[in-house]
Amino acid sequence: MKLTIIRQAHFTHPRSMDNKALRQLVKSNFDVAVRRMDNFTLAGLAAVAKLKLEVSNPDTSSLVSCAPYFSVELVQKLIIDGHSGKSIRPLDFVSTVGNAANFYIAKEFNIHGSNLFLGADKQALEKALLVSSMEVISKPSQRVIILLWQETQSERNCYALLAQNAENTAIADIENFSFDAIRNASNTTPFVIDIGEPNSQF
Amino acid sequence: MAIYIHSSVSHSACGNSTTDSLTFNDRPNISVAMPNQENVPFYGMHSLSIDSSEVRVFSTLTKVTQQLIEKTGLSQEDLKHTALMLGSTSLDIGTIKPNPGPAIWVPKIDRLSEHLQQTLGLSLCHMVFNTACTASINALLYGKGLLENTNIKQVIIIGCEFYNHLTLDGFHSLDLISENKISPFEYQRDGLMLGEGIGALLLSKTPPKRQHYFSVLGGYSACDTSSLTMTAEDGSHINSVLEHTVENSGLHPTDIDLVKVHGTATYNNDISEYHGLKQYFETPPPIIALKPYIGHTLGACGALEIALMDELLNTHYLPVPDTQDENLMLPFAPVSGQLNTYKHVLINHCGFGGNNAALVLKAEHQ
Repeated sequence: MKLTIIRQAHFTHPRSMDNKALRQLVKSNFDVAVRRMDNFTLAGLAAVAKLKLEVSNPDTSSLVSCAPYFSVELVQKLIIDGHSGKSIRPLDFVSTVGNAANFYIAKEFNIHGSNLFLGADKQALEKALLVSSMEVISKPSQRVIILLWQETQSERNCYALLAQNAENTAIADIENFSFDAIRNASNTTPFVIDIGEPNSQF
Repeated sequence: MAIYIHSSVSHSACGNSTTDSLTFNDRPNISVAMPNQENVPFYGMHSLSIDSSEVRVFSTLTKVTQQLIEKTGLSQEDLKHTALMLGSTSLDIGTIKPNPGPAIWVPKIDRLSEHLQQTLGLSLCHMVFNTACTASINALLYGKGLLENTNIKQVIIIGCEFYNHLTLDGFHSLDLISENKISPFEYQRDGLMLGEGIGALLLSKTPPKRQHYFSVLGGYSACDTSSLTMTAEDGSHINSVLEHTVENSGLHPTDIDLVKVHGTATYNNDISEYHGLKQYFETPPPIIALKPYIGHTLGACGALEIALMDELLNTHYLPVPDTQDENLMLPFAPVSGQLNTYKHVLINHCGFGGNNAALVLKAEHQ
């Protein structure tokens, strides 16, 4: 199974950056709707915006995202509030549902195909690529926006890829594919990656 | 390539399908006090006292998955080639205690699937689907794709949702919880009730050795960006998902004999689903709904309700509400019906975040 990576992008922000500052940054740099968005969603919006998508048919665009954590800021606040006996406000509850960020990203970029939010820590990149390859096998004309959040105690990184079926392509496979390779744009797009078999990959 | 539901185990308010005779009562079995002291009805897992402890979540989930493995007879070597796809909305959120100190103190999303993978010796190919109420249906659809296109031999699909105060309080804040009962597709319905449960399915490329079983035909999953909390009320998006699903199954609308609806009994969800079914079918086939017996189990409901249907397939009983047809938006299957007399069953689910997904099961027999 192979995927062609058409474009790649990376966005990062320090965890210390407050929500208002990040909203202003993302709004001014990418001209996307940011009202009431949390930092997790904003980072995803920024990374996808950097792909400079041109969606001609929303039905043939899918979103496969993968993260080790939910929106850390929102979920941790919800848990602290719950343990202190505070009633949850409807808007706070709705915004913490795991796939809320995916919804806002799909809405902003007009994505109407599958919209999957996956949870994975180890081999998150391989798992997201595997599910994306299932998507293009079942829908060969589909383009998949692959979005991966990676978190440390000090910063949030968000990686975005635009991928499609690699059948009938003459582009050579690349071997070095990792978060670092995306961050440093070490491979010139477009390029092809071999997803491999799950039992040998994982 | 045909993909089969080889085996299943469920644990819900109806009981544990391995150790109990399942009972289908249409009333919640627990009442939980909210921060404002109001009591909220809930469908707890049968024979388990209610709490949100880590040990309850991990031991129940592990036990049900082990029961599935014992039922299938998979060897330790087989398990190394068995992937795990787990669908859930709230996962282990109820077990988390605040730990202000480090910037990140919540556990990782895949803590439950990693625990099962390590405890049971499964393939390292494990992942969590978190697409709200379509989570475990999506896990099933992509698990099917994994079997069809890779060297993975079997896939375990888990749908799980556990009692936790945050989810109950959240739905309570949205004013979606019924004070009476879950009455899907009734004109007088007044909301949902939440429940917890685990549905475990083993997908395989070979049919099981039992009299009645399901194969999984086609499915489809898509995103409706019209609203974060609900799908288009005119049913247009559900209709589109159903069209793709039945087409991917190589069938026509007239081939569908029964629809297992999402049927939350909220005003808006049932209206959207009703319009979707009316648009797609000239005359919709009879429906069944399982949430009156287990509550709305959110991300678990896809796999859990299929596990219950897998159990019902080998019985002479079909749970349907005791309601006059004139009070219903669509007719239910007759109470005297048997699930194994319906050949093609359409399974429909709608989720928060605009996620709609459906698939077709075919009732097979030896």
